[in-house]
Amino acid sequence: MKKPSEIPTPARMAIRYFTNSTARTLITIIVVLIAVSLVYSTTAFTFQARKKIESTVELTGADLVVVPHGTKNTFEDTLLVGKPSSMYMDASVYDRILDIDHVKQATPQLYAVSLSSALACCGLPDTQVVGIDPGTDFIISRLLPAGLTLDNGECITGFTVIGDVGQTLPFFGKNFRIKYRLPYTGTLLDYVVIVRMDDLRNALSSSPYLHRDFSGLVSAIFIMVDDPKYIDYVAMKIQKLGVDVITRDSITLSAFKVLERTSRSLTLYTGMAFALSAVAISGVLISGVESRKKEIGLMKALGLKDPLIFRIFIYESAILTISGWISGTLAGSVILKVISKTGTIGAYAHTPVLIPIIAGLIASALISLIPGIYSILLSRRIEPSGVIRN
Amino acid sequence: MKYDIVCEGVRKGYNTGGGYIEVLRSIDLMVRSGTTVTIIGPSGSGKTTLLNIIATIEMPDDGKVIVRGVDTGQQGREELSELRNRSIGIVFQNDIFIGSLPLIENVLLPLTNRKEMSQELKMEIEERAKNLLSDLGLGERLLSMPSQLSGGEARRASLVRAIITDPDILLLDEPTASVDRENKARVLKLIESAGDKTILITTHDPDLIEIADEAYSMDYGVLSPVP
Repeated sequence: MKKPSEIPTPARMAIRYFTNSTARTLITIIVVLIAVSLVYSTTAFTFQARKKIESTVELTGADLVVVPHGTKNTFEDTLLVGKPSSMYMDASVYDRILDIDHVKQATPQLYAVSLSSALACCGLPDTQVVGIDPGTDFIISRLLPAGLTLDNGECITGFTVIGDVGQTLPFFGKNFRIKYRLPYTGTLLDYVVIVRMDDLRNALSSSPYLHRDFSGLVSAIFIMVDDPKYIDYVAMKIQKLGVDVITRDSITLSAFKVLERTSRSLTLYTGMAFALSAVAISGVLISGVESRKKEIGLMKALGLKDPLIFRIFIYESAILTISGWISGTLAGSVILKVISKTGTIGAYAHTPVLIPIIAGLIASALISLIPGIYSILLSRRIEPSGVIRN
Repeated sequence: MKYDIVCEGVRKGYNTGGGYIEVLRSIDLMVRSGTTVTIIGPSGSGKTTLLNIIATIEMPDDGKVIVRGVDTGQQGREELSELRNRSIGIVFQNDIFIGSLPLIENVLLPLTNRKEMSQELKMEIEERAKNLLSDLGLGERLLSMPSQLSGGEARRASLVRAIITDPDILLLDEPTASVDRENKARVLKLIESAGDKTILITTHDPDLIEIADEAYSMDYGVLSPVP
């Protein structure tokens, strides 16, 4: 193999610039890394959250959801961020809803939160258990293979719930055999356990800890209206029954409001970090400006032309962009992982998609261009005579 | 008779805190191709300024400088860079290097971006650079960083960098400053071996005056031949 030439090239000079001063390089890359990781994680969070809200609302397939009076916010938390909850209303509401004009389909659900102690053996946190009515259900059934029926003593688990098909999960003093695992949906369904509503009622009623009869209770009723123009009419009629009604649009709207607030704060922090990064990069540059001037002056005095000198700085910016982008994206992924383990907003953080990766690259390039442009401007001003004389 | 360097009525001055100082007062100088000329004179007499003007690093306020037939006052920045890079080898008054490049790469720096050079020629020049550095006692310092070099080592390395492009003209500003006796002999030998080149040296060193074909003295910006 031919030995590479030792005559310096612009690319090699750019690499040497970074490898020669470990401290300066580390500081510079860390500065870019911080900005990129924040841009990446903020963008990823926002995009994922929007996607998740839309798919959650889409997945319910309902135009209206009826919940007990005063539990609207609790329900939205459950639906949108997967926070386990239980709330109850009289099951007779369901029959009265069916009597309202333009109600095409309605299905009740019963919610319960599993006691941690019941699942302590498996190390699971509190889990949302959802009781469905297989006879009227139009939400879960769409995700199940044709012909799959849910019998008493059986359950369907969300994608992230621990346990394989055939194994049993203990809830409220009763064992449920896992019949099917739902595919990944990116919604709260990934975290729930689904059983038959009558089965759940029996288990809850016979639980020695709850001391309550659940036989005449439901938690939520999902409704489809025969024509979208009657949604408001049906909602108004239902409200008269003394329950809360949530429309499909209001779920999306309130979720986007929460998201907007969170995104605004994140964008503000990211903007501040971005500005600080620019200041920090400028500081690193200013600290090394004298030696940089000397080197530019020397190259000019030796007859190296401006385009060649500019190329060195462009390569430096490119190296900084790529290293800052890769390390920033990795750090951003770690931030997302951490966010995903935290409270309410955590439910929105998920796997990265292309747009945040591109946003990180743009952020990295913007910050990395500062030293490049600065050096090019400096280079245009420098006359070799001033440098050679000093 | 062919002249590689011609200066006609060259004047140069600077505005300082204390007012305008004229450093060069109507300098006339003609250096024949292939000869060695030394300029001696006290510090601040204008030797370095004259060398920098001939090197096209500075421009005169008045007068004409012709280097290898090229009127430098009529050229653009690009053309002057080309002239410096291809035809002139310079040892500057101060030893300046690229701090992030090892010595061998610093010495080869003027050859950066010579696209027309074949791989074989590049290898040949690199070998020559290594030999020259070895000849000047720097064979063990090829991969040293500039900050690790002593003053004398840096001076000798500057000389190799000036010679490596095989220029027609060598402009050497105090080439033996900071160089010890043993290494000075090596430097002199190297300069003498470049006999086919036009060499202009500014110096305080009597040994360098010895090897010159012609000598001038510079005092308060006035150049006069040394008999």
